[in-house]
Amino acid sequence: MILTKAQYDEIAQCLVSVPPTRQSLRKLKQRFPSQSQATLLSIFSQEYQKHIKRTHAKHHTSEAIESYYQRYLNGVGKNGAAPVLLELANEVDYAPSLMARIILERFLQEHEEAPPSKSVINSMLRDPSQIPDGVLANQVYQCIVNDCCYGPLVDCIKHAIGHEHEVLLRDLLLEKNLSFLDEDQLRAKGYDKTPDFILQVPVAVEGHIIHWIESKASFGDECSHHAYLHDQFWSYWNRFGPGLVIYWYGFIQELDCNRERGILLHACFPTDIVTLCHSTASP
Amino acid sequence: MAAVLESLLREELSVATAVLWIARSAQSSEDDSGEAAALISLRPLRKEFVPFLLNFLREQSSRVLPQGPPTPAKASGSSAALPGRPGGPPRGGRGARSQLFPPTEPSSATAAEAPSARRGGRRRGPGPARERGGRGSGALEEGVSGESLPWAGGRRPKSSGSPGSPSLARSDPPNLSNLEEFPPVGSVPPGSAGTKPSRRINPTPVSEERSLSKPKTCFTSPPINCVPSSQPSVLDTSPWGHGLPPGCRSLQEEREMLRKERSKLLQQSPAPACPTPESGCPHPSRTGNLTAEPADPARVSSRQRLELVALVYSSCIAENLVPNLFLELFFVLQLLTARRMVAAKDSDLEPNPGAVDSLESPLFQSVHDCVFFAVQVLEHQFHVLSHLDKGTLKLLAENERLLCFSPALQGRLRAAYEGSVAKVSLAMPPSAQAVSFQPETDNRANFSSDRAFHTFKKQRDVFYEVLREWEDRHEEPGWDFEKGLGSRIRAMMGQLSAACSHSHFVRLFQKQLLQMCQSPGGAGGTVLGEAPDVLNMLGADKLGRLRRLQERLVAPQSSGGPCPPPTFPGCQGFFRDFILSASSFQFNQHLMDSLSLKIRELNSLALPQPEPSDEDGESDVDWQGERRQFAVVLLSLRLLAKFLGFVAFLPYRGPEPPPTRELQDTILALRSQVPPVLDVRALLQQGLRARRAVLTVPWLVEFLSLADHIVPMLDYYRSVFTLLLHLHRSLVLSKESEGEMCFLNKLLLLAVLGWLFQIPTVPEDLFFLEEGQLDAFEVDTVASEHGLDSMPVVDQHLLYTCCPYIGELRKLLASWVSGSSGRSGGFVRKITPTTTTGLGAQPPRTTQGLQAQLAQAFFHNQPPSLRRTVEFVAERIGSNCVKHIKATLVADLVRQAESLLHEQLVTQGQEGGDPAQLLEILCSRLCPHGAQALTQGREFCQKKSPGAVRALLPEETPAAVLSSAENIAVGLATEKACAWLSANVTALIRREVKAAVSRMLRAQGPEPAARGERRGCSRACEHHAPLPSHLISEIKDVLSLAVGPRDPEEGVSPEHLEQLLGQLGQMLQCRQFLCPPAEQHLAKCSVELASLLVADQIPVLGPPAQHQLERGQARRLLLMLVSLWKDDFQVPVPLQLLLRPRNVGLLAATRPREWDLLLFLLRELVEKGLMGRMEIEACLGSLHEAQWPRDFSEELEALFNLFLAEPHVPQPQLRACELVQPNRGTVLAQS
Repeated sequence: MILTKAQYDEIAQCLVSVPPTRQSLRKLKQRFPSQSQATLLSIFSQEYQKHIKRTHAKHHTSEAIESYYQRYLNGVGKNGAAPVLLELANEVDYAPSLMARIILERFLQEHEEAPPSKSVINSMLRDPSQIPDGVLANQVYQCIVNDCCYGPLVDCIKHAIGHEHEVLLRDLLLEKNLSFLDEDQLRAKGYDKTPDFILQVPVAVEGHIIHWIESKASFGDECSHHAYLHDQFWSYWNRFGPGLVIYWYGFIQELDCNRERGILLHACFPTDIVTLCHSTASP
Repeated sequence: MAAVLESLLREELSVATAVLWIARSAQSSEDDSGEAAALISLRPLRKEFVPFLLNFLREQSSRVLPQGPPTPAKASGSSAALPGRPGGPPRGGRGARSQLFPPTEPSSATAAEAPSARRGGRRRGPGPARERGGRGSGALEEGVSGESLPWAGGRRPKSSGSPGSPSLARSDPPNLSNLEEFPPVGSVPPGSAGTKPSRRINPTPVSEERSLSKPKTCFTSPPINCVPSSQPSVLDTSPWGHGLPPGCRSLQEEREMLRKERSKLLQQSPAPACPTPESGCPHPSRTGNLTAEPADPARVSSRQRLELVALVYSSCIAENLVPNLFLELFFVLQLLTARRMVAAKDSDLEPNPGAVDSLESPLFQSVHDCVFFAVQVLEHQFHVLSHLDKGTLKLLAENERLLCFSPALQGRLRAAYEGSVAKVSLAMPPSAQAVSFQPETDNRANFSSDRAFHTFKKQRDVFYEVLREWEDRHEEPGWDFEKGLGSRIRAMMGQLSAACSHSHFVRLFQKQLLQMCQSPGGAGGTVLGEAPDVLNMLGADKLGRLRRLQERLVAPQSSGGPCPPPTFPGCQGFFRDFILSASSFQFNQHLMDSLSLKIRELNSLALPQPEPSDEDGESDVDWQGERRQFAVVLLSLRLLAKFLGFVAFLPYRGPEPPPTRELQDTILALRSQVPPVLDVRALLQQGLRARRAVLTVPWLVEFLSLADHIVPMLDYYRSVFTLLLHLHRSLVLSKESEGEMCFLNKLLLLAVLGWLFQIPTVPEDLFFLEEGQLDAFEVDTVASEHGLDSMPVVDQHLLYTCCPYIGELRKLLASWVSGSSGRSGGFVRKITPTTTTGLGAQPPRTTQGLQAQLAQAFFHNQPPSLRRTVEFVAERIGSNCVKHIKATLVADLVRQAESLLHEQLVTQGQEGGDPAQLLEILCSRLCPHGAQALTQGREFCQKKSPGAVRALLPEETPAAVLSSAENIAVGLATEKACAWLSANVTALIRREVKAAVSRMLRAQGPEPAARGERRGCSRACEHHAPLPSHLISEIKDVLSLAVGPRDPEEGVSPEHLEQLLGQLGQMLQCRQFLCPPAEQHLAKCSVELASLLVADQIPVLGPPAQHQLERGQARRLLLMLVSLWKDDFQVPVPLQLLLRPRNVGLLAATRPREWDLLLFLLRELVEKGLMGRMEIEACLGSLHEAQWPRDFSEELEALFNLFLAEPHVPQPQLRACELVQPNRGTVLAQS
């Protein structure tokens, strides 16, 4: 699903200030029936994350936290079964899971002597039944299962998707008889930066030499691609030479501009692979 | 000196005698012929003859040639002189160019000062060292004045007109001869200069802009020598020995005459007043100027005299008495291509019958004379010409003047052209390839700490980031290296705290340097030891086409005249600027260490030995490889040496030499204390002795070319220069005998040495000064009579790659052809070898004893490829042997260690004791087994080496030779492997065991189960089960629907739920795409789902009345879940969640409450062994602690009791609750 910048912008335009809920996703799918759901979800998720990064700070001022907490207390005071926390998050345009974290932290501060450690908070978010307050536990749980961009469940889904595509890619490489070293093997050898796969014998894809392949189970938008380039792809190039990135959920066409320099983008496993022919093997 | 020349012209002396006299200063005393005797009185002046002759020719040509291309001694930049003297000495402008070596001051005939053979000619008076500043202001230092750092040439913003032309950027120091910048006092403002025809060709920008159409360049009319006297007739009519001329006047007389002449000149030609051609109208317009005057052999004025001078001149060239062979050729070609002559004053042209002194009449009176002279010289230099590249030969052969004046020479040139294969072509443009990560040298084990390792990881990335940015931006106007990248580089260097990190970074830097800049244009050739580009192998055809296309598209670029200053073209600029911006002492030191080491290593590399049998065709193939290998090594050495010179002399480099003699002496005293960074003298001596000068000298020249002004005065380096001068003199091209150096090898050395002698920092008098000691030069070549020097290792490709300035000859000729057409050239710009082989063999290992000697002897009479094959095989097998031992013996030991450790952990509990202690125990038990490594290693080498040797040697290798080669390979490989193993195997075992132990101890952590074996799906499985991520997502949706909030129409169908659980089962059985975290989350979600089912909280799609799941459906689903938990999940399922207050609390929200499903589920769990009764009881007990509504607490209590009451009843009595709570019995009993 390779989109032009213009197509991408059109989708991104529809995502401004949309809460990360089931319902929003459903509407988005109706709006862009021709795009794959996974791509839409990936774009939505990334756009939403960008939005959260931009607004993160304003939700973390002590005034904001205090005001949210008071509103939460008022809300549950009136009706503990109502989706107080979720509605609060949607109202102030913040991710429900993150709002749950803010309130939980604040709650624990009030009820425990020592400020809660990060790992305690994370553990409680993963398993809200550990939260000492039953009402809050329910509220937090509600936030987490209703948030489709943040939270431990979403993280797990993303991780699973990434893993699945790596497995998929590995199978395809095996099927094509391309021998490779995977991340674990590379790490064991002491490589400092490890793409998903390093080909033991380079191949050519569309005329470009490929030494390594990185699988990205997301949509390649500008922001994430630049971050990946800086943190991963160029680092791979710096060590292993040119390589291939597969954005399984597509990417913005214009980003595929470093082909000559040694970073090739694809939205699926390439079909046009040329391998090194040994003279004896060639017909 | 004039006397000598005159003697020659009058044929009192034979040319041979004269040349002998000049060249063989020591032996000349043996000559007792009359002719030689005549010269004895002139003996003290012998050294001055050549400079005199060269200057004489320059002067003469400048007088006659209107566009008069007086050959520059250096790059155009060197013409910048004394900018503070715009109206200065009248001869300033012209003299700078026209006089290569201004006549010696009579007073300075002493050894130290006398032969002031100056290249720039800018020293007017009796110039002491003080004035050298003006002279030395070559482009090299041009950046200094304006910027804080020297060598900043590459950084200056480029003018839009010359993008990417460092040579041009470098050649813009104030040019005194530029009338616009330095108008002579009272001269016409530059605006009117548009009509002035240029008088000289500035050779540098020939391809950038047409020099002839550049009126800004200064011209002065040639006012020299005012008594035009000599006529052809005089000489023609004077037979040999006839009419004794005034003969040798006394020296005093001659000097007096010269002095007068000079003063006359000073008066005659103040710059503005010089009789400029615009007043004398014979000058056509600029465009007219471009059309060349036809040259006619019939109109040559003094044939015989020209022939004589040409002969003397050629002989001097042939004897290497001139500093730079190619500079002279350039000059000659300039004469050949002279377009038209300045119309001299009438009186000049008129023959003066009274003149007897042949020197006082102009040598070149017309274009015809020039061309005639040039062709004469070219005829003598045919041998050199025939070795130039095909393109130059073609241009020469096609030159109509040459054809006209010497059809014979033209014929020979044409034949040479047709026979030439020396086509020099462009290579691929530079494309940066990164240095690959090699675990052996780059992994954590090579660093002192984790921090150092990670710091270096980041640095590698920053380095390439900087490099990429440079690639993208360095040609943008206004971009500045220091401004753009300086702070980032310094920040990065600042992190290199540990010495070991520095060495890592330097290794990276040096490798990248070699990879990117092996050729002068910066085009990335194939790297030492790297495999050839795959594309080359994949589609050579396509690549060739691409290359040709590129050749056509690449913009022409001048290399900066026939004697350009040292520059850092292309990618080299990046590395230079990086060093400057980093300005890190530690980095520089490590870099010098590393460069020196690599230079030594490459310089001593065993390169091709002579083939005993050359007649068979295969050896050609070998030779191709040898030559390529030599070229790769040579180019690498030159690059490394250049950077070594740059870094080593960086601290001493200044804009100009010390201003006073005292200061200079102080500096000399100081500097002579400092040991040289690399003992180049010893290496040079070794190289000469081993007859490897062709390898050593070119890189040494690169190194010295970057020296500062003081270096050539230091005793140590002075002796190096002396050696080089001796070598230069000894490289007589005409000598071709057995054991002599090959012609092209000589030509390469002459070219690089000639270039070195023109470098601004090399004292101008050096070349002629050292002559006295020349006789001592005897190369002791006993060590090896067959060195590299006598092997044809240099070809035109390499010659032009190393000396791109030779290409100026072709450009000059091409500019003659292209003539007035407006094209700004299209000349080939750079030459890069298409080398593809890496360095194969390592230097031979030194083995001891008779066996080693026998092996050496064995190789002596075999082709060198055999030796390299054997060495290569031994090296590789030895190395593989170590890896083999690692993979077998050591890996086995590690496995043993693991099982031992496992036992230990089982017996001692989870902790197992102190890891260090554990390691000691394990090692003490395992390391003794390391002894087996040697036996196994020997076996391995024994088994593997012969096959490899056999595969690599030609099939017709005699059996005896083959088996010997195999045995030697086995021996060498074994030696190598065993040496390493016996020294390192224990440490290796220790290290591997240690890694295994820490791995295992870490694995002991929270999830031992996750590391255990996983049940995979059967082989028949096609992995069609839904993906885990999809199922988590689906279940999450159900959960969110159940938890709410939800729209009225939202819900799930029971079928969907059933299907979902079915898919979950499939997926858990397939497991192909499942990872532990996903499975854990699925387990947790499934428990949450069960809780919602139990609490009847799942919104079901259907008629509004019936929003809840039927009890039967609910039970079915719960049973499915129980089955999944029992049979399919491989991670622990957090079933206790079911009884957490929050989950049980879900029941509190339902009205009427229904407990039967919970009870049902709990009993199922117990029955299937998923939860123990005790566990459930504990959970239920803890539920009481939570705060519940009173009625809910009561019900909970009842459930608890119920569960306790009927522990072992297989068919639970669901109505039992009624007994406890009769009033709610109906509710509870709905089952």
